[in-house]
Amino acid sequence: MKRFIVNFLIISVLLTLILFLITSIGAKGMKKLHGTGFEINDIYAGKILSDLVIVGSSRAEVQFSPAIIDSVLNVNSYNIGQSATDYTGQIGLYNIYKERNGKPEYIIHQVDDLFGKKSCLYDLASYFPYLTDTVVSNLTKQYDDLHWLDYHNPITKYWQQKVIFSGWTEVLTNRAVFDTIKYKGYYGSESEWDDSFVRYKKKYPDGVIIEMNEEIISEMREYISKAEQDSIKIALVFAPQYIEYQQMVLNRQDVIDFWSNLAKETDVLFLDYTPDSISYDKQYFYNSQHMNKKGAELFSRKLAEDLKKYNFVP
Amino acid sequence: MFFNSLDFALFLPIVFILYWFVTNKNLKIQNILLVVASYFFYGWWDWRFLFLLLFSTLTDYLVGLGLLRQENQKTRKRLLWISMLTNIGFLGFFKYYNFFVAQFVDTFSFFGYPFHPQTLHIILPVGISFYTFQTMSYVIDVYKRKLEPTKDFISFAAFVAFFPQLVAGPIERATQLLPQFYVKRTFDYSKAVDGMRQMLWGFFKKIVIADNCAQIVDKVYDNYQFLPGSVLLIGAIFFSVQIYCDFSGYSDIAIGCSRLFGFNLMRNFAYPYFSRDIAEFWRHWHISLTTWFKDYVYIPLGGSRGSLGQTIRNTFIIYLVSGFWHGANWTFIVWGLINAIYFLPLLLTHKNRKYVDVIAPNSLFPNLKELTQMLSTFLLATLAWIFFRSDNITQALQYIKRIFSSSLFSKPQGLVLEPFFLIYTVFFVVFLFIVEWIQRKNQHGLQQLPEKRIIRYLIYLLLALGMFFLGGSQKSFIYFQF
Repeated sequence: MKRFIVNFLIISVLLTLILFLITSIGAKGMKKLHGTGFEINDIYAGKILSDLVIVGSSRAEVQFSPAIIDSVLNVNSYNIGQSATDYTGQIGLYNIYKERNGKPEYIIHQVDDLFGKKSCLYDLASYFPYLTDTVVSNLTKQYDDLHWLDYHNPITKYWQQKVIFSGWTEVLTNRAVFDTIKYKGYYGSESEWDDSFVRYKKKYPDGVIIEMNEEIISEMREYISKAEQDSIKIALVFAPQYIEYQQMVLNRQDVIDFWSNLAKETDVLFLDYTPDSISYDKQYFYNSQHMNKKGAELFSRKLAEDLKKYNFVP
Repeated sequence: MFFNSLDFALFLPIVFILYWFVTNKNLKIQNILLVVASYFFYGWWDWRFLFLLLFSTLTDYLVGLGLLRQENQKTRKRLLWISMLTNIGFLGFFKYYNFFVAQFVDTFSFFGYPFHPQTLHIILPVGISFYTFQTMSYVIDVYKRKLEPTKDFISFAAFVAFFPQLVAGPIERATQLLPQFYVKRTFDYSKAVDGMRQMLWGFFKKIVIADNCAQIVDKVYDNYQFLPGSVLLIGAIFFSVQIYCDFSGYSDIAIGCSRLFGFNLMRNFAYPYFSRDIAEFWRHWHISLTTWFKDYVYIPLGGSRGSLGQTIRNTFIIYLVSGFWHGANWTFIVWGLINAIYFLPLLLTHKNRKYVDVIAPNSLFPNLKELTQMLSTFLLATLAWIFFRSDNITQALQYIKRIFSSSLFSKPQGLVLEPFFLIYTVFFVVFLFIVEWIQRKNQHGLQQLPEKRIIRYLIYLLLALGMFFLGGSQKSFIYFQF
């Protein structure tokens, strides 16, 4: 028995050491990556220090151009929108931003009719090098992906995470770009109209009814109220959606009314661009939910002009 | 609890330490520990089904005791029926209720009498098909007086719930496993090391090969209507590898894990893809189930003792029942039927026991004839697996139709996969076949390793690192659904 245990321990220790070495070096490289999928690195580095932060999902990430907003409003804005991230994730990412970069003066929060609560955090592995920080773990713990042990050792969370190889590539080649590089968190997509909406229509031939998630709604209320306590000015912005999609949403008016009422109730600005002419022109979209670069930049200009008109940024 | 989870990685060493260091002086307490650990292991998934497991255990234990005391043949038969109805009743309700309801609805609708009965949202208890068959074998053997029924409830409960093989086998015979709970186990270094190696090989097959193949297979089956025949054939081949590595991987872990506790389980796979005909394939694939059906269905039906017609009938019956055992879907029944059809020429020519020895026992490579036989058996099995993997018969037929179209000879394209992922997955599949070919005379892929310790350790570390970083994301074992 003794021999068995000693041999087992030797192998286990050797394996742990090798894994520790591989994951530590990989994590070091991962922290240096920039671009889509690694937004957290720039946010966590704490050097953004913007006056205005754009918060949201991919509908913020690819549709709100900080360059245009800066030029019109004369501010220093940054887009922390992240793909496939629900409201919980968006708020969590904003909290990390605030903790590491200080509170902004203004928030533009991209809102929409996607109230679904996701079971996992998109690009979760990019958060791994920071899990010992509670502001990060407060966010990741809201999803079910990680085991409690993952928070208490540097190795197990990298189980089957091939992204560690990107970290190693960075260490070996100093090539700090992961996927697509962004400008101040924004990425204008040159993609052309794809067939995802055709498939969506086929899947829901009778249209869809949006279910309002009470949990998400209360999270949003709390977030707005905290921002107000911090004297941060918020604008809720509903960016254009392709008109045929809007027509498929059977309770669309309820969704718009919800955001409008929430804005009134909390005394924040609400701008709804779904009836805007952009929504009627397919050339500005690459799918029903996302505008391409042309549409995004036209929209960003309209938004910035309107914010100026409403004296959002004095 | 999944074998391939962090929970199990904590559970196993704790049970191991308690087993060998705390409870080792008292056999009864050691067996109680195994029962508690097994119930914990099973309850981790859904504690409510522990009552089902306990009820099944109690029923068969009491029936066994009843059979011990009862000499009256009629009463003995009644007791046997109580056990069979309880076990098959549970299985029928949890596994087949909705299937039969759907078939009644279809039949009545066909004759112009549509009706809408209540179907139930039934959760299938994991492993029910496995432990039910195990306890049934106990009662049948006791009834046939092949086995002395046990009075030791703890040993019997441990036999039914023994955690390494509880949820997906091997389906043990009471005659083989139960006596092992009666005797004191002593730690055997070489047995434990071999167990660890077998577990490592099982984990590697499951995590690195099966789970990576699963990603390709799922993509192919989800988009089969848009893909050329060449890609569909590749997808079907990958599924053959996936299901083998998934299930034999589980069996290797189960057998290896049992050896750590001093138990010997029966072999469940013997390199089935190196078989020269379909009869040999079935002697090497899911051996514990195949032999179960042979012992408790095929032989009682007359086996091959009667006329050729009866033998063929019995063969078809066991393949159809075996198909149906896998799940309440026509796809499994057709899969069983196809295998029975494959078997038919061998039965007719009396060649179904032609290959009973290890292939190419004295040479490094197979000869051309053996290679052709292995390839054709593999392709036949692959064709049948298409039904097994498909959601319904229509999908399976369309899939096969697309394979046998002119697009079979077109360039395999249309599937978006990362080149790095594809390269290492193919590499590991080739690696699997090479390793298992080399080890074909042994029980598992890591049984015989080089003498030099440093090389052995290097092999262990490389396999573990492969699992850690290059494993696929699928977690559950395919056979858990059965």
